[in-house]
Amino acid sequence: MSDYFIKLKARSAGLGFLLPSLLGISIFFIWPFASTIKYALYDKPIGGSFAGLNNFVELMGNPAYRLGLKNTLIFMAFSIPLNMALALSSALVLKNSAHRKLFTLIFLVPMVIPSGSTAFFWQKMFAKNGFLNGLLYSIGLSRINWLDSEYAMAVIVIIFAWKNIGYNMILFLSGLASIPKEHYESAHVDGAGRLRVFLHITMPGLAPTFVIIFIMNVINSFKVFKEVYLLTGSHPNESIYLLQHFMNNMFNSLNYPRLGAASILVAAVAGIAAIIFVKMERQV
Amino acid sequence: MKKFLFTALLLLTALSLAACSAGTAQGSSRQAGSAESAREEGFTLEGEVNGEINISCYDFTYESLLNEAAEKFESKYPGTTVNVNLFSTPPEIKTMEKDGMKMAIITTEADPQAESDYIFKSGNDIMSGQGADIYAIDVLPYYKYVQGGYLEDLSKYMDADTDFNTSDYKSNILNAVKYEGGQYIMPLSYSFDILTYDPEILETAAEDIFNGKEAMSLAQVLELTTGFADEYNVAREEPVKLINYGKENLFSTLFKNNYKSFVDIENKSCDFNSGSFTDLLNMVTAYADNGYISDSVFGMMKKGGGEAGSGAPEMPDFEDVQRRLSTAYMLGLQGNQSLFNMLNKDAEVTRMFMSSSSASAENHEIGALSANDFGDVEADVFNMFGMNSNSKNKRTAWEFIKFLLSDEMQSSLNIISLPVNNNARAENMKLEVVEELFVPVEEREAKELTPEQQAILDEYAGYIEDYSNQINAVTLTDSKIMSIVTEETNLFFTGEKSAEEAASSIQSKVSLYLNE
Repeated sequence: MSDYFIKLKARSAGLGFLLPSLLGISIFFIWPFASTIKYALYDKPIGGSFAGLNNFVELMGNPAYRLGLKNTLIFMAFSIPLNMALALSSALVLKNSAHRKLFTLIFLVPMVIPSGSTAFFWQKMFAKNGFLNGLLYSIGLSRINWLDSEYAMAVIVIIFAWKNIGYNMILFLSGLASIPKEHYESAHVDGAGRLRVFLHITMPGLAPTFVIIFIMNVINSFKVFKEVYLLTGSHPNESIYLLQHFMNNMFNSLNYPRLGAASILVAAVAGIAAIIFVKMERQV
Repeated sequence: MKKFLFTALLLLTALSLAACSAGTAQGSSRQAGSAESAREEGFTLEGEVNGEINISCYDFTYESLLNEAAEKFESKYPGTTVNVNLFSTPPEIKTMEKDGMKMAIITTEADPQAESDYIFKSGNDIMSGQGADIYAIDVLPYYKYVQGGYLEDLSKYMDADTDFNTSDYKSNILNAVKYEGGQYIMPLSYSFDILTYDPEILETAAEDIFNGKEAMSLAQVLELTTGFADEYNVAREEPVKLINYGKENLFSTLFKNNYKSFVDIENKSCDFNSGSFTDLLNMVTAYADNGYISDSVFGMMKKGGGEAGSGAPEMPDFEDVQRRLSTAYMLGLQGNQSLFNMLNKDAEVTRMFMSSSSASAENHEIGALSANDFGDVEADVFNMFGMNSNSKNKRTAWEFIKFLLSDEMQSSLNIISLPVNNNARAENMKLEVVEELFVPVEEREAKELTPEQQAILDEYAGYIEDYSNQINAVTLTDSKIMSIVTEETNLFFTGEKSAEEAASSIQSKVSLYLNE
């Protein structure tokens, strides 16, 4: 009997601790998402009638949505692996460095600078009369309209990497620290080379970190929109029109049914991707 | 339990992504029912004219009119409060004086970010149920609002209100702004353009150019006049230009005349790649390169802020302005206000309010009514309003819109150009003839018209009404599309892009915008 009460008390305490976050999540995530689902099922947000899955069907046929989706996937395909590779390389270099703390601090600086300030910097860097074109001009090359040409995607990949490498690097450093030293010592005793150690000890040991960083990168890749929007407005060059442009513009034109449908699809795709990666991590 | 927690975590990750974009998408679906019921047949005006209404506008030109209307409305309907909210910055007015002559330069800088912020705020307010009752349709994407059901169809109020008589208004103007058959927008005034010519320069050539046609497009007239201009200027040291337009202004006018062929809002399509757009750009450049057109007075404004030229415009040189104002041009495209000046050249106001497009306009004569490239006579409409479907005080909001259309408000000095109200328009023309239009109401004298003035009024009113009756189109350009076109064509005019590159870029951006 006393055991039962102890367990009940422990559970109540646990629920008590969970309650504030549960309340916050319900108000700020679950309720808005439920409203989003409702909008997605109606043809108009005001005075509309039930439209079933029409908004989803229309969305799939919408050229702007498809372009945004395609560009977002291309952006992720380039930026996430590049970002993870650079962050891992930096972490491996800094792992045993004497200046680890200093460099960690330096790498974290981009995260604390407001997007508005960084946008100003990037504008000066990539503008038609900007710093980069000044350099090109000084060596006799013609200027490039970086943000309104085929190079625009590369620019936003650079911006994304600049902003996120530091954070990912810290996560990798933490992951590296969690790999037992004994594994490395055994490998050393067995005569394993650096590459073999990296492939068979470091990489498997970092698998959970990889999954977390991947998920964080997927989330952060949506946030690059802030910089892109500040640099190029609501309708940029076709090559950098992202899903977030579509959603932001849907919001501005008050097309909530389509916005809702797009949001649900993004949530579904992100959720499925996360499940697949977590399952893959478990198999490693 | 672990599985449950894991699934919950994944779900939250997914939700956090979706909520980023849709977190603010919490509208007031509770209003949906009221909007639905309002569409039912047998709509009647219910409730009393009472309480508070809010009016939101971005364009500063609405402010003085709305403030005046709010004050008069509150006096007429005790118990009402009208709040006017303006979001743009009023223009900067600079004056300069020399030898007793004064010149005022009013500059307005387009602020795309502020405009975008206003649209964002308006949308957010409407969906949260906190929006204004009446919105000025100045920069808002009205058709997107109509498609979403956010604007009331005012037709049902017009029909249900026994005090409102459609025949009291210029119905072709009201009909021309209808969208998908509904009167979602109510314009307060309108204007039209006329093509004019300098008879001392063109002489008999004017007959060949205008050939008795009642309406012509600017593109047509320019094309027909170039041959004459070549011959006329052959032995002249200082050639006479065709028209006092810079290439940007000329492009803008010709583009608007041809807007429908490039942009089809209802079918969500655009056509900037077919070649006619690049032809237009090249044609304007050719006019500029061959010296047929000049810089407009406004083109003389220099950009401050050092080499970058990004600062506020500086005052132009006084002599330069005077020189340009005294230059003669073969043709002119002038607003309807110039009609009175041309018919009554002795009037004092003629000298005060000559169109800025050409200072020689006082010597000009009427060539034809300006039409677009499809032969439609288009009006520009001003001070447009729409009622928020989510308004909690629609009765008072409608009464306010009706008040803006009343004889009293339509005769206001704050009304731009021709009022849509027939009585107010007739009264304004009479006041113009007795030179009291710009005199404050309380200082006006009840002057009787002399026979000469009556003759001028008859002729003037005849032109205005005849031309007004021919108006059969209003092109409400989308501010976003116009901003894309202006931005890209400026890159073409500064040589940073070719005509094809500019056209292709516009095509992709406008197409994206329309298909979102």
